[in-house]
Amino acid sequence: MSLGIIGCERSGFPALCALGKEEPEIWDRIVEVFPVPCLGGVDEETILRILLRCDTLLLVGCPPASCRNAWGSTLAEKRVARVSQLLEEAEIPKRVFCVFANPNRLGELKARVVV
Amino acid sequence: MIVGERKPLREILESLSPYREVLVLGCGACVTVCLAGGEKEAREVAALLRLKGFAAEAASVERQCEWEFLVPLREKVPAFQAVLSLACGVGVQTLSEVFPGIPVLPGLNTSFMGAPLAQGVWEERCIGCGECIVHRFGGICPVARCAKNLLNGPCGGSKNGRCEVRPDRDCAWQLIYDRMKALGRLEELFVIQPPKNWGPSRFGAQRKIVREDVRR
Repeated sequence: MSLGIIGCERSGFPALCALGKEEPEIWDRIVEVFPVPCLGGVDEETILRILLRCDTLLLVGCPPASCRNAWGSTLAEKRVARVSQLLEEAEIPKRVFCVFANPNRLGELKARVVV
Repeated sequence: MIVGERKPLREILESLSPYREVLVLGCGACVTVCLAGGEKEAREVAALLRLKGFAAEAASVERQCEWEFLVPLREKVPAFQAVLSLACGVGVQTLSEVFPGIPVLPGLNTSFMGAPLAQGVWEERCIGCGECIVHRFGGICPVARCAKNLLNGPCGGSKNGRCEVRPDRDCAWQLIYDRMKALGRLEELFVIQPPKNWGPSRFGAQRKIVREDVRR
C-alpha cells in the first residue's frame, strides 16, 4: 500500500523526519511528501488530487490543543472527514487520515506508517 | 438566491457511465453561495471523477444561466464527450441550448429559492408565485413559508411557534403575527384575503416576460 503524506512545517513534517531517522524503511512506502505551512490550508481537492498517486494519505499536523495556528488541525480533521465520506459515497477504495504528531510524540504516526 | 444540492455521486456516476472525457462546469452565482456548485465544488467533483477513471477537467463561469457567459467556452466544451453542470436547472438548460451537440448532465438537484440563515443553513423564502403579496403580512410570505399556504390566519395546529406539518420549522403565521404586532398593524390581519390568483404562478403554463422597450 503506497502512502502519501502532507505534513505541517511546525510539527508534522519534523515528526516524519524524526520517525524516518528511527525507522528508515518507512521511506520505501512513502511515495509523496508535501510539507505545508499549516494543515488548515489543505483543501479537499488537494487531498483528492494527491490520492491519485497513492492508496492512503496521511495529513500529519500539530496536536489540536497545541496547533501553531490554533484551528489548523481542527479544520484538517473536518476536511478529512468530508473527503472520507466522498470516497465512501463514490466507492473509491482509498483512505485518508489525520494524524497528530510532533518529534516528541511519534506514537500515532508510527502506528500508521510502520507496517 | 437559488439553492441546490449535489446529486448523490452514485447517480452522477451512473449518468456519466457512457462517457470518459468529462468537463465538470461550476457556476459562480447562486450555487457558489450555497456551496453546491461553484468552482471549488467543480474541482472536487472532477478530482473524484479522475479517481474513478474519468478524464475529467473542471472549469467555472460567472453565470451559466446567460449565454454571454458561456461564449468563452466555445473552444473548450467540444473537446469533451459530456459536460456535468453544477449549476441550477436554468444553467443546465442554457448550456444545452448553447452547445446542442454535447450531452449536458445535471450534477445538482435544484431545491428552492431561499436565503442563508447561518453558515450551512438555507431556507425557502419564495415560490415565485408571480403575484407578490408579502406586504400584507409584514414581509413574511405565507405562500412559501406556511406548509398549507394559508392567507387568512393560522391553521390552529402550531405548537410553541412551530409548524404542525414540520415541527422543525417556524409557524409562518406565528412569525406574521409577531411582526405585525411589532409594527402596530395587527388590525390589518382582520382583512379577509381573497382567494389567490394562481394564474401567474408556475401552475399556469411556462412563464415568460417580454419587455418591448428594451427588446432588440
